[in-house]
Amino acid sequence: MARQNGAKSVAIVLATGSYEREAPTTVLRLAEKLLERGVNVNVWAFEEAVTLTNKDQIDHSEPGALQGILGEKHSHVSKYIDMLLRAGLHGAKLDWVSCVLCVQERGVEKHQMNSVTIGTLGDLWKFVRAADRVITIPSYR
Amino acid sequence: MSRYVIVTSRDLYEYASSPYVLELAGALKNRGHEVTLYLIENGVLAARKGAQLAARLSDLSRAGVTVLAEDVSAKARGIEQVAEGVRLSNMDELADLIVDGCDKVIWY
Amino acid sequence: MAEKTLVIFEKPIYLCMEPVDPHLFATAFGVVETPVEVNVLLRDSAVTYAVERQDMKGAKVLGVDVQEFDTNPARVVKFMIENGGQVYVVREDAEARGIAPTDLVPGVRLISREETVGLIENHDAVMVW
Repeated sequence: MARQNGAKSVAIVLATGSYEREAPTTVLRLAEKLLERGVNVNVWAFEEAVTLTNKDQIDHSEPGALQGILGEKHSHVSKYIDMLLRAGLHGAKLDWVSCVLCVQERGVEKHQMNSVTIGTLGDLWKFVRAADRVITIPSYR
Repeated sequence: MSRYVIVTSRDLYEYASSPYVLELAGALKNRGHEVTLYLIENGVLAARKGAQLAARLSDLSRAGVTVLAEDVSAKARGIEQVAEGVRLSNMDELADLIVDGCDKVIWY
Repeated sequence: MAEKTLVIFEKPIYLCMEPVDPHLFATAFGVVETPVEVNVLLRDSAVTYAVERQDMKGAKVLGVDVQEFDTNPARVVKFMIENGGQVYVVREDAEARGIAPTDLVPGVRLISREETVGLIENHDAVMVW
């Protein structure tokens, strides 16, 4: 049941990956601010969002001809998720769950970061039921 | 009376749902609810001073809807001035709204 | 042979963990590093790519910049123009978004919505990202 004041837990449902979408960046920026306020955050990653926590992402070099405008290399989204999961060790808790169906169909089940839980659709609805606020980020196109 | 935060991350120029989102904010306000329309990501494109859709945002503000545009999203898009009735906000204010200032979040 | 290609942008993508929209830098690569003549049409909300003073430095997670290198779409637009690419912006689309000609990167060419038809006729291939 939603409480009238002072949310203690927020469920965020996310279905988009990074690199051509801003939504995961926004979720990470918002999650930081929620954790800072002592709010537990449950992220349920669905469809392309399960690629966010692929542990095999690396900083990659930009094409030589474009390094003057893009820099030499750029970072990857899992670095920021890892930072937030570690931040959660010392305060409000961040749970990050990747949908089992989605990781299997993309072949990334064995590539998930260690701190990520593989979950079910049942977990999604348990998160929703337990949350004081539910935020669902719509998929695009 | 409930308190609503309607977050618009989608570009209001692009989506056919945009008129509905703006109508929804106004209709909830008319029914006596507290409504914040929070523009973020490409949602801020409508808030640039002089934009055609900015007039709709100003109307909502006059009707009592709080209309906010996230500062990082605006700066990223080179938006230096926002329309009348729109106030620049930041991620701290959005987090405060979600935690303490609303009952429901609807994210477009 | 598609020796002269028009690349059309309609939907802007910001702060996606790439330095800029990957379609934009893929297009810049075409302008500078390949024998294909690549020109760009910015329409709908992608007209914002040509706006000066875009600044990504405010986006951080736990104090770390989301975008480590200080760049933005306007910088890539300038780079394409400097390297011989033509960048066209649809006037009506800019006006609808409150973007004045003086807000735009020098060297972009403002054209009407109607003139985009001729542009499409004059290129061998058209790519819509």
